[in-house]
Amino acid sequence: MRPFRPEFIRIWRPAFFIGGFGVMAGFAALVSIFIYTAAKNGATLPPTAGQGAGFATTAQIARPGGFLSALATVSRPAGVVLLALWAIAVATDYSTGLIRVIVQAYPKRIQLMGGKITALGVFTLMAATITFLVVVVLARPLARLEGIKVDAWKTDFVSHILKGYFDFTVVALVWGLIGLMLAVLTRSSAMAIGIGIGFLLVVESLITIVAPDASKYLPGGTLNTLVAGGTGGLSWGAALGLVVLYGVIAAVVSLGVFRTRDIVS
Amino acid sequence: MAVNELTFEVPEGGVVGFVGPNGSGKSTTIRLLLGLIAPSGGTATVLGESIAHPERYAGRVGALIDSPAFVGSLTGRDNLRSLAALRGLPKERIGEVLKLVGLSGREDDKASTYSLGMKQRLAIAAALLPDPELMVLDEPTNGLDPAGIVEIRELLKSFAMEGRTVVVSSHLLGEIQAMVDYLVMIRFGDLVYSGSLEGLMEQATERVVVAPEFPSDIPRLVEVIEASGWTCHLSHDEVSIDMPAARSADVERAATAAGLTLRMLNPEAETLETVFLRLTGATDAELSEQRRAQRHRDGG
Repeated sequence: MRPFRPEFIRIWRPAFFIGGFGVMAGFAALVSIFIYTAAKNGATLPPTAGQGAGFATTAQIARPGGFLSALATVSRPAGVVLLALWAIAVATDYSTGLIRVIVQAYPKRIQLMGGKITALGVFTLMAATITFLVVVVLARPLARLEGIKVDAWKTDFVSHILKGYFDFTVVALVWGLIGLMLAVLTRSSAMAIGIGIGFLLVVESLITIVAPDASKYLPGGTLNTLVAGGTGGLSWGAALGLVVLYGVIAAVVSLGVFRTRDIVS
Repeated sequence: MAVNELTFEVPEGGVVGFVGPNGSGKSTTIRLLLGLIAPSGGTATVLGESIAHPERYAGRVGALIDSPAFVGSLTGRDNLRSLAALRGLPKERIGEVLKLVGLSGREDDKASTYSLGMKQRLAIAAALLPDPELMVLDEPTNGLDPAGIVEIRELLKSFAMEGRTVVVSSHLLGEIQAMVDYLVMIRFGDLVYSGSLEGLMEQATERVVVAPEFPSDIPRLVEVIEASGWTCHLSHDEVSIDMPAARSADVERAATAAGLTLRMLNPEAETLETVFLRLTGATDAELSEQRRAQRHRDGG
């Protein structure tokens, strides 16, 4: 697809990929250290902390697949970073006027947006892989440092790795697609990021307090639930279905609005 | 409604000026033709193809719309590489257009470090990438110094000499007059003039502006001029007479016969700027002010 390459050329600049990869890897390392230290110290989160988020206990970490304990907590800041990067990648085209040049040169807008989604998707897969690897690679030394037994990690190691990686990348892509939709709608990175973070982190937390039952179906909570492998309130399968639905809605809205809206910036 | 029942044709080949006051609908028209906005009605064709299908002619059109737009953190070459990839062009074309616009040697610097003039050149290079039959350039000399303006003007003329059609929208009417063969003038979304520049300038009026030695003689001078059958207008301490410039000596003779001494006698032909102001609804007072400013610029 022709629009993919030019999008990737623009994305593949140091400020974007080093910034994106670096911040996500940094978050992964920091959260991992925090999770293992907190587990040793017996810390817990309040019940309003949201679906899937929270500190693991040493017993939970020591279980099969426990080496991914930090992933659910990492997914939220990593998701926010991806939402912001996707929003910036789209909204910058409007703020710089580049969208005029691009659409004039290649008026097939659905393909243009498809190329952008694919390029940002590849970037997200790479960023998610790096983040996932940081969590996995740091797990053993951190567990040792805190004196947590890891013998059970060998059980179903590969299947846990594959499932954890699948969940994390799906969630990362959907965070990005939400950023894309907000940027297409607002044509402003600041507004898109503000609305995205405001809703997913603040409004959803408030809804969780007011209507705990409804909150598990909201995007932020569902994304976290999927990475956590499901919770008592929402199974892994249901969470996956909802996350995919949110992703499809974001992509369809983005494509539809971009195809029909006048380029007046 | 920015553009209303606007109908015009642009001939193939040559430089075409597209002018109009601010808010007249120039940008809207350009965006409509380039497929950036959809018309609420009506039809238009670009290179024989309907604007309902801009993908059919996009590969034959290069454009600079509003202002140069690039990724500042990418080099000039990478910005062009991205656009060449989008258009499916070979990368060899990048070097060719960089050379054409005189950016060779700076192509590996970040676009954010470019001066406004260099950004303008890079934007023209981007428009040239598809080796277009039609170039649509909105304010291509914006921000350039006088030498840069002359250089871009000559560059655009050379493109036209190669058989391309170059449509230039600009508010610098002196620039337009110096480079275009054909002119489309609009106001409030309506067509004011469409035709050759030569044809428009044939409609330009001529005047003779005179001033007596003593301002107190102005009423007497006006009497003499009107008695000779000419129409005149008073502006500050000058009298503007509607008459062919070639007959300016008649004014001098009439004034001398009446015992008046002229300190200034200036035959003037309208420029594109003054024709533009007249056609787009400038008042006489504004027109006179325009002429006065021009004379001062010319040292008259």
